[in-house]
Amino acid sequence: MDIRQHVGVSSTMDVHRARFVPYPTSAISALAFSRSSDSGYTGAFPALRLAVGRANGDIEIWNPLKGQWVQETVCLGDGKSVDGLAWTQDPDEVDSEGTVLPGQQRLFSIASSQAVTEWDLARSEPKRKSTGNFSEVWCFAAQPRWKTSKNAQDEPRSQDMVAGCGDGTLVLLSTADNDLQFKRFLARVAGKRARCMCITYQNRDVVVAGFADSMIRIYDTRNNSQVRQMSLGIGLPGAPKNAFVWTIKVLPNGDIVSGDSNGEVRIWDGRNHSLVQRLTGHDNDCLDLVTSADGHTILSGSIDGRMSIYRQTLGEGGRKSWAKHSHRRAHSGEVKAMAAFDSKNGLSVVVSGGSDAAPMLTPLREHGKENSRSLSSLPQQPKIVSARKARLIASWWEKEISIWRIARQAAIDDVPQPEKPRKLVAKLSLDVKQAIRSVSVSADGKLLAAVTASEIKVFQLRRRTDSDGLAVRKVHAPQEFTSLGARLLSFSADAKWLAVVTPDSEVHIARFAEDPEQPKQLRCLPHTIELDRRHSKRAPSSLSEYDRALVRVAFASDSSVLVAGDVSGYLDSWVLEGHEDLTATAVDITKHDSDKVSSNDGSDAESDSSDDDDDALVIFYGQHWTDNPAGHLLPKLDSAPLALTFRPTILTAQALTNGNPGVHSTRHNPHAHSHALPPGEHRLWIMTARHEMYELDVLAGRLSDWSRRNPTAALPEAFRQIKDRVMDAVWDVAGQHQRLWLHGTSWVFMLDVGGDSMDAESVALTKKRKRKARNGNGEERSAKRHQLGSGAGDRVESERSLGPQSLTRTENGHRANIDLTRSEQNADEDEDVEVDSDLPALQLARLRSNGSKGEVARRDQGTEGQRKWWCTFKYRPILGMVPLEDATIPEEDRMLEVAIVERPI
Amino acid sequence: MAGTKHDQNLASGKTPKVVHDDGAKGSSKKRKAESSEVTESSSKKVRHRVASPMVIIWNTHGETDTEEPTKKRKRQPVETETAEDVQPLPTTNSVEPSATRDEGIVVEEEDMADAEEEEIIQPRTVSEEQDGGGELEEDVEMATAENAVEDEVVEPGATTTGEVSEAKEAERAVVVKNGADPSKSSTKLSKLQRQQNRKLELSKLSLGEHEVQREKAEVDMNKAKNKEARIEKGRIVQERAQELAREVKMFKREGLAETAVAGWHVKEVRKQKKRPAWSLSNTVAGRFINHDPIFAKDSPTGDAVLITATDREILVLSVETSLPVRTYALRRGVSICSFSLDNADPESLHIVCDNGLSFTWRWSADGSGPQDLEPSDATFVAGGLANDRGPGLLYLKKSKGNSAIWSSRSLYTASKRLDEIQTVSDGDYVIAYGPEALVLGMRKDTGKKSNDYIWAELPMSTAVTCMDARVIESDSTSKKDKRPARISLAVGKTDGKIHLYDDVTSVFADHRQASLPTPRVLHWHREAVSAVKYSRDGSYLISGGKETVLVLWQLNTEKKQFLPHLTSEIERIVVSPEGDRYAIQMGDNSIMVLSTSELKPVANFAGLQLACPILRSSPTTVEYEHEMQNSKSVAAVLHPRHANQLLLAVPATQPKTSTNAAEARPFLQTFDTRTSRHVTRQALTRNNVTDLNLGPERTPVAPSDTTHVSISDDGQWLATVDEWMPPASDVEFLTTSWEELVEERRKRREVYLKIWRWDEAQGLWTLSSRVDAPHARAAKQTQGAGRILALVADPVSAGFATLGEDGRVRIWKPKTRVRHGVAMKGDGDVELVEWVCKRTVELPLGSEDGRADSPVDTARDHVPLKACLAYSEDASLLAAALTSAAHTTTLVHFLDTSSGDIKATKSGFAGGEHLEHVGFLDRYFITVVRDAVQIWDLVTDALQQRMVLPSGATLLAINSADGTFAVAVDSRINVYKPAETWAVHKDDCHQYITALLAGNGNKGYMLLFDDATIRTLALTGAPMRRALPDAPAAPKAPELTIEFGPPQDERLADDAEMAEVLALPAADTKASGLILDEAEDDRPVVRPEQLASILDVGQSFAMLPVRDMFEAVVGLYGRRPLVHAAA
Repeated sequence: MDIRQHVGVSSTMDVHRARFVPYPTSAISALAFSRSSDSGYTGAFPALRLAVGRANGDIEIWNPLKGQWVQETVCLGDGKSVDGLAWTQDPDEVDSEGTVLPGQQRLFSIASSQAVTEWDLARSEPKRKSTGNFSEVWCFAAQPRWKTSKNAQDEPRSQDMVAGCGDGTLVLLSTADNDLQFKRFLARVAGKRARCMCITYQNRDVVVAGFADSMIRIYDTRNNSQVRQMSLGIGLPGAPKNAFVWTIKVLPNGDIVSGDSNGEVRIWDGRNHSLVQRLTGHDNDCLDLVTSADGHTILSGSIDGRMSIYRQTLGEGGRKSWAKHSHRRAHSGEVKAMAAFDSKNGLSVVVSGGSDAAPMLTPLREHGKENSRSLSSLPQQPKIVSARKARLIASWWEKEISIWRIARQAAIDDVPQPEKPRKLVAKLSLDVKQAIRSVSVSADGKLLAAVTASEIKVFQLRRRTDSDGLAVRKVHAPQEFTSLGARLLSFSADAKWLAVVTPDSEVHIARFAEDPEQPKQLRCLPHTIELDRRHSKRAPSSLSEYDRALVRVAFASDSSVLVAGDVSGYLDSWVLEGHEDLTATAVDITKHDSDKVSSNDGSDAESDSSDDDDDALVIFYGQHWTDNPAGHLLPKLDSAPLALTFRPTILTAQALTNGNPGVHSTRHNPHAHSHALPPGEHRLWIMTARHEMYELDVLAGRLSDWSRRNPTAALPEAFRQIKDRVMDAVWDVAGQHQRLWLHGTSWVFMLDVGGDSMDAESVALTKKRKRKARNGNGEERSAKRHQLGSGAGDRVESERSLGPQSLTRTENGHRANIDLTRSEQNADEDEDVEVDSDLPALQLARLRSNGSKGEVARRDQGTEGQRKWWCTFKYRPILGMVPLEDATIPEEDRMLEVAIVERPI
Repeated sequence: MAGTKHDQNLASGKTPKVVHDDGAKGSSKKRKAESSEVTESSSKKVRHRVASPMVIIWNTHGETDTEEPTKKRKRQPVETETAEDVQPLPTTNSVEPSATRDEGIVVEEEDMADAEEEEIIQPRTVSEEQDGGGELEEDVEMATAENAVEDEVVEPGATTTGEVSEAKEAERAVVVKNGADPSKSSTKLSKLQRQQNRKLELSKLSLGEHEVQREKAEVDMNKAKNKEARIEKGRIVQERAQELAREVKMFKREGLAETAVAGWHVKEVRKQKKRPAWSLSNTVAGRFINHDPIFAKDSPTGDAVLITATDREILVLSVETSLPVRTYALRRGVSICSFSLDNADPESLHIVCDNGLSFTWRWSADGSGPQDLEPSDATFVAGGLANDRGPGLLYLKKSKGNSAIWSSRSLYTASKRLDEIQTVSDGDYVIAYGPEALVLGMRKDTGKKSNDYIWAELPMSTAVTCMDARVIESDSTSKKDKRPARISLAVGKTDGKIHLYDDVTSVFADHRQASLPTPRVLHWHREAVSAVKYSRDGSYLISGGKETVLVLWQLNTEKKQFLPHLTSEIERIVVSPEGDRYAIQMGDNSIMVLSTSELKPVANFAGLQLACPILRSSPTTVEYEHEMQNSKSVAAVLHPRHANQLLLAVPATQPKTSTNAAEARPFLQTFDTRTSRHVTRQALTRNNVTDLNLGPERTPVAPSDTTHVSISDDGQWLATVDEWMPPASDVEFLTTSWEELVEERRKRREVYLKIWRWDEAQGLWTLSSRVDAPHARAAKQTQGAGRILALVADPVSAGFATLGEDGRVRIWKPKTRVRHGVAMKGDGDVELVEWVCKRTVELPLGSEDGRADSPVDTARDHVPLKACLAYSEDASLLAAALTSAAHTTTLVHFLDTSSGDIKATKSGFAGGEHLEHVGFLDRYFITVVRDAVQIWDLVTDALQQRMVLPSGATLLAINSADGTFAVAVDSRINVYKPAETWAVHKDDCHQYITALLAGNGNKGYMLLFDDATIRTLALTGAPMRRALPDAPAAPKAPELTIEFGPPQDERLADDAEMAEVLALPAADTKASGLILDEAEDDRPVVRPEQLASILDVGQSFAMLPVRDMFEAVVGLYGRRPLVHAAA
């Protein structure tokens, strides 16, 4: 379906509302937090991530970011449903200097096969598999972390894993030495229905497993003995005779909690293994359950989408007993998987997922006081690209790429020959082993590149003369380039450059040019280059490699600057030196300037191209890529960049001489090349995962003036309340205005970045607040931390809250109002908390701009009459928003035209 | 007056006694319900016969019975059905049974059967009736009167010798109340007192004394007449002594009694002695107030009882027998708000009334009075009563927009309304709630029983409908837990959820720590939760609501048990202290006691399920209003064979909110008025009490409404008419205006005439025939069924007649179903009968009345609004009349039932007035129009009489058995005999009469009141009880027939006198003297005002016909002397 509409009067934009993209969503089948609570850690906490496993084999890594939940990376799977996920952390190590290197956090999964898979998070692909002589793994669990005990002679030990198999076998696996090895069989349960359904560790030595024959068995891993077995008894009337133990968990005090196909949650004493209590939580199967860190709360999810919460309370005579507190239908389908993270003051949420594909956040500590929140089921990085000039949009999933052409408005409205609003013009099924990770199309629609984890494929698209369809021709690229594989890629605006980010987060660039023999064909120049990333000193992290994974890459609008941002917020930038000289040799390989004296003759460059050592300097048509000289000045962002885009600059016609004046090959300088930096401002507009907004002058290595005047705090309140993270940004620079259209899965937001969009007062206020915070009284800090939500939705409104939110207390005739929620008012405050320490440069810039208050105000007035921002929530959920262009309309009349691709729920 | 000293003594000795006698009569009525009217009247009649001998014997016999009254009183609690027979208890004086037997013998002389029947079945020991004078006085006055009485009672007790009997003491007390010292000349002393007392009281006192004097004279007369009765004097005296003593107790107890009442009793008695009198019985039935019943142990017997209350009565109900053990009634005008057992003394019951009075009643001891009358300054007590050792009595007081928790002083003023209050843990915690707020109070220092509380008020987002608190004593072993206990709270909400707070004491923590964990949510109820209670051990929660399902939540496992298909919605749930019983008060005005273990009913107390009067606000159109009003007349009949069985169309549940569903009456209740017990209940129409009764739009599904009920003469056939219209919301989409909406609804109206046969085996009415749409709609509209405006039963044979809005009379007769010439037989050899419309007579629709040619008549004007239909006594004639908006004069058509011809058509029955009711009585035809009753002699075809009624909604009942008819107007009732020119009896019940039914045989009339109480008005052969004194009504309400009815009857004369005396208290001496004289020579005294009322009507055209005036004047002067009248 294609609905075309205009948005708003003051912010005109043509919107193609596209719902025809059949992007498939996949059910959530497993969930795991990298740690379940803050307790038990000495020193800094390891990084917290959430792994979401889906039925199509994908594993998404989410960063909770203190409640701002952002999907960081996606590991594409092989189509087999991820049935279980588990994290381990290697023991900490102390290096020679005495600094503690946190142990690496490792993610494992099982996927209806006989293997346990370890994932390489940095590369977002499977690292290794452990198979053995056991049948299909149905469940697995990681051993609790080793804790330093009093007798210090104990060596830190790694975490084992135990896997339960379909034939009733329990297998121990070892993760020691950064490996995954079969250790031994723990037990083998005979019997027809003895499938192991769920398994967990009670402590480091005792394993509790639930079976399909309604038994719970307890094993001691030290001596491979069965400690005890408990039976659930027969199923309820109407249910199968044997109840399935769907899930089993252990409370901190050692008590065992099981959820079964009768819908009951049973609590067993951890020491004598007697049944403590049985709670009827659900009418249907209870598929999963989680417990809070203090062990006083249990949440269970059932096949009908209901989640029930149980609390331990003091019963009669001070006896503790469990009772179901309430239930709520959280999912439209079943609740397949649940995971909990419960810290004392910060995050305390339960994440649940099921067939409705959207992770649901349910507050745990603040249950009933905070709302639940649903995260998006669509990928954070849009799986939609467009060739704006060719009016093509492309979407991809698995191994397929679909390309549609969107008709021009005029053509649709054409009375005699109305055109179909959109047409599927090509469908590419790639012959690749893995799923397509990313696709990029050049703006003119002539080149399309698709990458998988091991392949890069480039195609030339041409409109067929006889039909609307596209003719697709594969563009040959060097083997060593195409076999790199990539996670990200981007064509530059002029379609000459293709930047790819390999799974190892290296950046490679290929140059495309017209084939001199066949002018209509494009070719990839036979040499590609790798751009070096800066290796800045990083804090030790438990996800050290992962932190360097690049997540966004962007070309400047004049294609002369390339920027890439990684998970931890570092930016790398490169510039294109020199001017294009089509008369020069296409590929000129030389040594770096520093050792050009010792250069060999360039003739062997071609033969030597595979030997791509660092010293080689490759010049394409007189241009070459080099590190941004001001790159080291660029600050580290507070979090991973989500929107990374250069402000388009209207190129003043640089009608200079073609090529690089005064740069000619000489005998002494056979590879003469210009070192001229690209002219003009290259302002990079960034929005990070925390929705912090920056604009950097990349070549100057500092914040742009606009950004100084307009810090994040100046964003309108309406924007700051948006919880879904930004996915992408589209510039609208036609005419006088400079607007940025941002969108997330549920919202579209227009921000006027031409002038100063913000009111001076709120900026001043923020500064004041910040300064106070910086003055560093710890109280304030802790108070702020206290104010943070528990990571799910907002506070429940008083009229919808379960209990009262305030009370009036009267004592001796004196009345006092007491707020029972202890909630905190503004969510925007928390966003600022972290910034201070990380970004001294930004801070400084802001402080400096403090004096320019008057200026801000004046500018405000100057742009009066135009909307500064505009927001809509009527498109949802948005898979992507891509710009289109109608070349037939003269440029000055052109309005921004976008296609918003929605996925009907 | 009194001549010699002896005379004086005699007089003084006698007078109080007589006074007492009357007082006893009056208040024995209050508490003594076990003896029927007839019994009582007969016994009293005997007493009166021997009145003067008694005086002599009094002092000798009185002493012997000193202890007797108290004993008897104590026994009364257990008096049930066989109360009189099982009287003897171990402590019983042998004299007592003999007295009783005597009574029985005496009864035999009168009407043995009736009396015994009445006696046996009336189980009550205590009942009202504190009306009349009581209402005159304000509360403060009442309180002072009470104090005075108490003082006086104590004083004589202290001064008299040990020999003085309690009865005598009591006697004096009453005399004192009457304003006279027993030892002195009553007249003189009354004068003295008059100077001291207030005017109003004074007047009454004087009157009382005056009556006393008259009484004396009469007694003398009686003495002469009834000498033969002297032989029984001893027993009689004993009996009287007891009664007197009881009376004294009553007065003490009631505290609400006052002098005037006593005075009136005298008068009444005197009158009633003279000839058979009409009297109103005490009240039976009534609606339970919305309050938790209390489980208690009856200390004398150890039986489990349930204490509950109607508006005006506290009832102690026996769980074993499902019968009331004893009751305690308040005077009229005060309603009970709340009651609570005393914590320290579970035999005391604290009662709070809506006017702020609170008092204590020792409920376990019969006959004990309110001991503690503490008038508070509360203007209105919202209810909610909690009692505690610590703060004492706590109650909620309502002021503008908020509520306060009061004890002796205001403890806390909440900002929101509070409805109920509960204390736990010996008053350490107080919990009160209203829809919008929950107030928790914690005593600051739990050790001391002080009234210092910390209060926390929690605003509630969804309205709270019910609440229960439970204390969990914390484990003593648990460390450093300073809190004495934890308070669990279950809160029911309007959205059907129950919120369970494990511990609410955390809200009392210091400012920073105060918190309230989120509650557990139990959600099963679809609609608001009406009641929620913890089980005794706290492991279950019992809740109920509109779904008619009792839900038992097992709190530990989250399992639910249900007890579905209760007959009506649950309003209240109470768990007995032992935890073995649940009492469930339901929407059909019944309380059911269930055993906890099996959920089997143990006892059931069902009240009269008369539909609550609905206060209709926002009148829509007059017509619609009128229609609704008509349809909402009470559909009730008395069973012709079982005189005490009242058949009544009742709603499924008493409406709390005015919805169509709630107003409809789909059930038939059979109620025994004699025992005040529910007999059966059966559905007459489709209903969905226990089903999902909400439509897709969550609007209640409306059941049919039974509008008419009639029963055949032999009690075998019951005819009902039910009507149904779709709710307005269902057809709203079709219409644009109100008129269209009304029309659309009418098009879809369904009307059924159902005829039921009594199935003796099953004890049910079984449907015999159903006639769909028996009448067409008016004005020849074809769509929809026409309403049936009147339904009457053939008084002779099986048959019914209906009159519909189409202007047709249809006569329905049974017809034996015949196949091949043989009558078909059904189950149990019953002949199969089908009911057919034997005759249809179309009434000429107002063609003659001169307005028919009016061109502006719209169809709507022709829609008859009201119909009158009546069979003559021999069923040969049927009178039918239709009133519609278009016609001002109504025609009455007389149909020959055998031929169906219209024999005669008469106009002029209601000249310019609305004809309300018609009826045949003997050869008279009675019509009730607005403001008047007309009696037509059908033989002479002339208006025999016309008696003016006050305006108001009228009801007519004709009792052919005793040749009387009764007309009720609002709260007043008049009984007429066609031959007499005045009302035989007049009464004001001070309660709106919703139905008036003629009793069968000589039972008189049965009155249904809108508070679901029943009283009977019966002609009793002898003076038995005072009729209701209409003294208070005299000054304020116009006498029913003040225009017409010349007070030829002495009683009326008295009324008038009293009115005068009340008005002119200063002229007391003269008045009393006069009256005394008059009493002695017993000639009619006609005052000028009376004459003026007849003659001075102002305008000549408004004058009564000459004949009427003549009769009126003659009525004034031509009264027969009282003595003869009595004879």
